[in-house]
Amino acid sequence: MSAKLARSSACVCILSLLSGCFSYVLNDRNKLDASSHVPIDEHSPISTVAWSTIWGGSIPVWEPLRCIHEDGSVHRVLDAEKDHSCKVNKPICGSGIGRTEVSLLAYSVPLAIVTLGLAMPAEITLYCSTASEPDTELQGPQ
Amino acid sequence: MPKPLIEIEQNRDWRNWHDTDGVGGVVQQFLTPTNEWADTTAPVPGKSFAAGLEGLCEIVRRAEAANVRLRALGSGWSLNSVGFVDGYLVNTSRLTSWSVGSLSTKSIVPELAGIAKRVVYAQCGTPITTLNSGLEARGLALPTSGASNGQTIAGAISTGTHGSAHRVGSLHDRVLALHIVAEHGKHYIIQPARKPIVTQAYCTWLGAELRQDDALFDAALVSFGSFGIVHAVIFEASPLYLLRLCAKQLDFEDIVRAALSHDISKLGLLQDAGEPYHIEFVINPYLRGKGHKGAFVRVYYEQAHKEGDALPVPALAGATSMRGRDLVGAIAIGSEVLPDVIPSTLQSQLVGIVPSAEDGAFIGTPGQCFSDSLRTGGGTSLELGVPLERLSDALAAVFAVTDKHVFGAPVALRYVRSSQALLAFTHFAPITCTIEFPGIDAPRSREAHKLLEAELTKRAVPHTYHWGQVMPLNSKVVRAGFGDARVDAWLAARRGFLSPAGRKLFSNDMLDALGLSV
Repeated sequence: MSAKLARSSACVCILSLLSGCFSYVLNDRNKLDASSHVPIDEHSPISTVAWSTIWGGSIPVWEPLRCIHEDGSVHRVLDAEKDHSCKVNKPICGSGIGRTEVSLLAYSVPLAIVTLGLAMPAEITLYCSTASEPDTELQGPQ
Repeated sequence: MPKPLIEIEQNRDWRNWHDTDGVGGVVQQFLTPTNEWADTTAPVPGKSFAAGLEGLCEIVRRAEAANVRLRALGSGWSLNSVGFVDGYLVNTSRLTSWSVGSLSTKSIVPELAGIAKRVVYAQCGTPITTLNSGLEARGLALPTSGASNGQTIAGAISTGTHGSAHRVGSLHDRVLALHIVAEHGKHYIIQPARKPIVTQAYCTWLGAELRQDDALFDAALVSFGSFGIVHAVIFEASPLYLLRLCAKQLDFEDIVRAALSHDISKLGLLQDAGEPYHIEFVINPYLRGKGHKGAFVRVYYEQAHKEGDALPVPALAGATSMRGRDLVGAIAIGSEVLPDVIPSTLQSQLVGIVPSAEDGAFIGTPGQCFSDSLRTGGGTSLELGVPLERLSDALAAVFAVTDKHVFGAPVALRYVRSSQALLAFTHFAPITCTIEFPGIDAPRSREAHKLLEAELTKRAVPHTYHWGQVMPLNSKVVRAGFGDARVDAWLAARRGFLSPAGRKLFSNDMLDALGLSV
């Protein structure tokens, strides 16, 4: 009986850990030709783990920024409320967000089970759009 | 002067888009320059690329000061490490300023004033998809492209990306000038003396030095970042054209003559549909018998587009559409461990990827025909260039390998007009036939790639490799494929343009292995 219980528990654990593979993706479409996706910077995703708690009663709002230093270097401010030191802030993406992914973590469902749904973490990943309109001003000597 | 905004990540582990095994690694600094200034200075209209250009110049100077090697990335689509270096790796994705028909009268040489409205200045990171949609909305189009649209313009050109536009050539064959940031952050306009496009006055306005030199231009065009960082390219767009698709599934014996002669007139395709613009054959090498239907032909016929006419309504992905799909994802990983199922698995994949379209009902813009593709997650591909007149011998070599060693990839044939670029893998005149083997990276595929090289060499078939795909990493293969004269001319042009320190700065391990960094 105890061996059967152990096997069942192990099975539940494995299945709940596998729930960390669940992902959801939102792609924006190309403004001029909706048959293709908006291009994105695949090399520089921006991620955070967001915690929705109290059975969804508390919804985290994530508003990442870029903090710009005088020498031109940048650091990402993933939680603006906790970082007040920055003098010059810019939006996290210069041309907007082109793709958003939300993924459950390996521990999301086990944690939700253990806490009876009190806490449910998920990883949010943003990709900046690289779409651009042509510069219509005249270039070169006039 | 304000500082350009550059995002820097230390010790970043970078992987290519397809997450190919062995490609990429940890880099000392991963730098992302942008077209923004660090303060509140707004971009100047007409020079919206200024911050990005200054950012690249600054990065070169920093790499020199730190004595590390430097390379720029496009979309990271290459299936080898041609764009990778473990020193400073530059992400050009945010450098997307572009313009069309905006060069002033004093910027363009009088001889080419007639094409001024079609002259495009595109910063290195401008995606092909942006150019497709932006140009098409203005009654223009890219003269050609690869099978999909996710590359950046500089990445596509630098690695010799091609379609199957046998009358046009590859994308780099329509480039008129390169704007390159080289040693000490100094930047240059490199254009051919035989057909210059911009004036000295334009270069002065840009702050660039003009190099008008055929040999340098032909060498730098396909050079995968080895002459410096390509900041921008100037190219000529085509008047907008449409493409009518006809695709058919046949037996191998039905298509073999057409494939070898590049003459599709006897395949029973569309009549009076106009000039074939793109001809492509995809073969299941394991189903070549009568009745197997293991060969697919896909032809796009060029159709005129009248100014003012509405563009075709794009088919949305997710619905049933007939867009050119990247073949890299053709084979499931499982087939690698069960080789007996490869022929049938491959066939079912190909039927889905090249659906029959015999009625010619689908008409699209180039951007709609060669649209999005999917990340494969471990994909690989090898692509050869061979002279069209030796295609028969090349296919015999290919089938000698596939008959003994089954591996998960179809054989895709495309046809490209020969290129003047010294290291264009499509240099065989008058037409280079490209033979591609897109599949999943696995030991069987890697072994097959080695066998293919050995068989082609044994049969003395001249062949080159696509710079952005799997290739043998030794100088012998490069010299055998391009000939000593081309390779030596390329090396001489690079030596003339860069000092020894500059050549080291803009090199990487792959270039070393190929004997091209000297």
